[in-house]
Amino acid sequence: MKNLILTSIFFVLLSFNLQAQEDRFTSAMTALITEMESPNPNDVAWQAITNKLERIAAAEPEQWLPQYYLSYAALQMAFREMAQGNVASIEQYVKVSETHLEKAKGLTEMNSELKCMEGYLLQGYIWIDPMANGSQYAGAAHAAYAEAAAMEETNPRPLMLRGMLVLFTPEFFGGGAENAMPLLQGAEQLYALESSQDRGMLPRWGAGTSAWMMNKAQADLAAKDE
Amino acid sequence: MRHLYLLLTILTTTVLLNAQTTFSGKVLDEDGEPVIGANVFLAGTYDGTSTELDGTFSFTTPETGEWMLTVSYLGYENWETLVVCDDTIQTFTVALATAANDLEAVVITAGAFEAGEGKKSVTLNTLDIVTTAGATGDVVGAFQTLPGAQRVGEDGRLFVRGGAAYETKTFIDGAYVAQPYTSTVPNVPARGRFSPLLFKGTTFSTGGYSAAYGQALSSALILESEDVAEQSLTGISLMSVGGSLSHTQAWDNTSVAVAADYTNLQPYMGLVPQDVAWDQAPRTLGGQVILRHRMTNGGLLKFQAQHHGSSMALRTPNPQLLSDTIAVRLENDYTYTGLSYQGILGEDWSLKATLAHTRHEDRTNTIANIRDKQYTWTSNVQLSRELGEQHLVRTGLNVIDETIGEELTFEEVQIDQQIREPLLAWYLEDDWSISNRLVARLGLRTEYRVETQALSLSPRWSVAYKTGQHSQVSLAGGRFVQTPTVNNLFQQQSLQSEEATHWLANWQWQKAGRTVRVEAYEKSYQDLVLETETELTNQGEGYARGLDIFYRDKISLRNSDFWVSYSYLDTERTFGQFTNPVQPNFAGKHTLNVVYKYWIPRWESMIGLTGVYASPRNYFDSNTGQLAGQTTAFRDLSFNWSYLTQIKGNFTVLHFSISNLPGFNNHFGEQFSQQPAEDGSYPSLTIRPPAKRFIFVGLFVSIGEEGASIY
Repeated sequence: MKNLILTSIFFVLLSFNLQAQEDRFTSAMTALITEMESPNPNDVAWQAITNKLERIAAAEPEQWLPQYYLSYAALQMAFREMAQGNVASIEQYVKVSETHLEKAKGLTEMNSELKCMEGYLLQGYIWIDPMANGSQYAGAAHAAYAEAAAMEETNPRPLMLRGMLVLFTPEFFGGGAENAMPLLQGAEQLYALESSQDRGMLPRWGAGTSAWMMNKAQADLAAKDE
Repeated sequence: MRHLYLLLTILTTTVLLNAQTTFSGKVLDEDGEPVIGANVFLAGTYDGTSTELDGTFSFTTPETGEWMLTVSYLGYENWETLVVCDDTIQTFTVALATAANDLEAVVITAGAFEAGEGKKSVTLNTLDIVTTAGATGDVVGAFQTLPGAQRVGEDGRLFVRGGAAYETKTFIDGAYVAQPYTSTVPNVPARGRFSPLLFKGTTFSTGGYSAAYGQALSSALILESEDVAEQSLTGISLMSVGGSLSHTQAWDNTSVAVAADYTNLQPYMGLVPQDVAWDQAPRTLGGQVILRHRMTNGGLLKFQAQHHGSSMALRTPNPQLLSDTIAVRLENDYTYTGLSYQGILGEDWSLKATLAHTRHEDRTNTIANIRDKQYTWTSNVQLSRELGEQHLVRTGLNVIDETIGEELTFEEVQIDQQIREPLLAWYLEDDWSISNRLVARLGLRTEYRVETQALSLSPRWSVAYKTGQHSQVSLAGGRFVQTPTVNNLFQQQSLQSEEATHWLANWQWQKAGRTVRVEAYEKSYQDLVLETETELTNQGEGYARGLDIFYRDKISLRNSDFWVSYSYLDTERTFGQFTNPVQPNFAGKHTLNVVYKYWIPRWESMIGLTGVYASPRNYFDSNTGQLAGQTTAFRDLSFNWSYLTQIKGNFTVLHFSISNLPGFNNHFGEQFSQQPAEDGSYPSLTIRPPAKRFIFVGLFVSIGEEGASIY
């Protein structure tokens, strides 16, 4: 009898332990996602987020989400380097992003968010040298976004990123504010829908960028009319 | 009791959390500077932190037992050490070592200007080539703006570091290409035959190149053809000198491209006065087919065929008696067919194989009728594999079989000559990564020339050492062997091969959009073909030494990209009829190129300017019997303007270019009458470009999916 009680306590505690481990993953990830969503984290904050993600990724080698977010965080760093004109660093971060995306793909079935990240990564390659790489990767990026949108029609990120690609493509290549506007409007609607849902640890980033691009596109169009 | 023990263990590790081990310390780089934002953690736990602005860190963990304390930071090797969490405070000073990643790895750069996607030492890519003013969309024209290339305005081919044009060879996918230039008459410059749009990567090597390339004394132009096209695309070009139509159809793993082009300079030459008396301006009709297929095993199969027929007719001074003119008509047929495969063989080997055939036929009708034929089979089979972590070895076999014929009919006389020049070559090369900072390439090439039954050994070597984060030095050298030119072989096929030895020292600094290269070289020539009164010998020799400087900057000036290249050359040789050492007629002491490109967003335009100065060259003066004349310096300032727009939603480029904007009077020496005048002197005519300027207008439309363009 004593043995039975002890065994029961043991299993209860064991399951409690496993549960605690899962809770730990969920709470750590949720906290990080909130940090990533905070308005304008600076370079130091992004580095800290990346480091935390790396630690979680190393401790949870079966989870695809830490790898996915590492891929995303590296592209955000690449974007920052581009804004500061550090050409050499862009490439470094893009390669890191690619490594994590490949790992994420190996841990789960292909899904809309991963497909979408594939397209975003190709945009990262364009940032390295827009003149040389633009025509090479733009078509493939568009194709990846189309596929991502088809996999999950309510995912706003493929439309938002497609809007980004078009908005920052020169007009003679078929880009510009006028062509980007319908995409950004579509993304805005989907973000409104997404914000009403509980996404848990699943991606929900991009609404802020989408709004910022919408403003820019409107300003570009207004400047053109003058 | 065992259960109780387990229970206690679980309780102590998960519930009580009474143990607290602290890790603190500092993370430094190789130079002892603090590393900011490095990730310091116990691998497998969530516990860790990022280093502060002064490189310090501190964190606590409730874990117990043995864990791996890990420090990671982008661009550095991970640092790890086994620690025991035992409720203590532990301090570490961590020195991170720079990672040997691809981005900053040391590469062999001596002699070579590499260009292409994914290459760190990108110098010129396709877009750079087509937007370089003065190059008129020609690969060769663009590479002439790099240091080491000489300007020989009346010829148009690549002359490198005191070498004659025949000393530069072109290779496509590893196999040598015969006759890579358009056929032309004397003093009308030739162009490269292959469009820059066909290649994903080019390497212009001005010396000391790999043992994989042979039969070139001075330089190798190495072209790598594009892979399977990703997008379907139709291209339409309308130009002041003709037009072209192309279509590429892309499937998942296959693409087919077809193109047809026609150029005719007649309308243009009717508008712009020419110094050449054309009976028929140059015209060309041609087409090409390219098939590319990615196989299920990842192998890549490519087939390319192109055919061009060209003709021109003009009246030119009679070489015998310059006051008289003769009619010359030149017709050329050229067919290139190439098949290549690259893929993985078994577990470790990778295979590259190319088989190519060129058929080249020139028909010249003048006082005599001459028919020159050249049929060339070339092949390259290369196997490579990694040996351990430090070695990449490659070995390959080249077979070249060249048949050259000339039929000459002059009145009743008919001469028919034909020779065959088979050549076998085998090479072995090792890329040896000695350390993160030091790599070496050691190679040996053996060639067997069937005609002379001569076996030649050409050792090649280069080493590169990384001197800093962004800089490196390289040294290279080797022996280079080449069969004499067709003209010499016709006279005497028993001639031995010509030979050169290269020594190069190179320093390169490269950082985000800026590149500086300085290279010094010394080259000696042996066994050059020399004419004596009775026969040809291999007794010619000579040297070339000099300094090449290159600076490219894509970021210092807003929306601008420019490069400056300067070459100093000191060379003399005994060759041809010159038995005393002379500076050859194709070599100039100083060459300066300045290429500037400016992107104007408001106008959606790219403008380009290219300035060239090349110091005077020698020319042969019949009156002195010496290479004693002096050409003018070659000066040029070319301008181009590309306007980028859309026509019915299709990407369109309107391109305008003009050469020699200021109207410099360049001349290329004198042509002397072969017959002396009554007073015994040889009258002469000044050799000038066919026209002072060349003006070009073109409209290029790309019709395809979103974001598609022919560039």
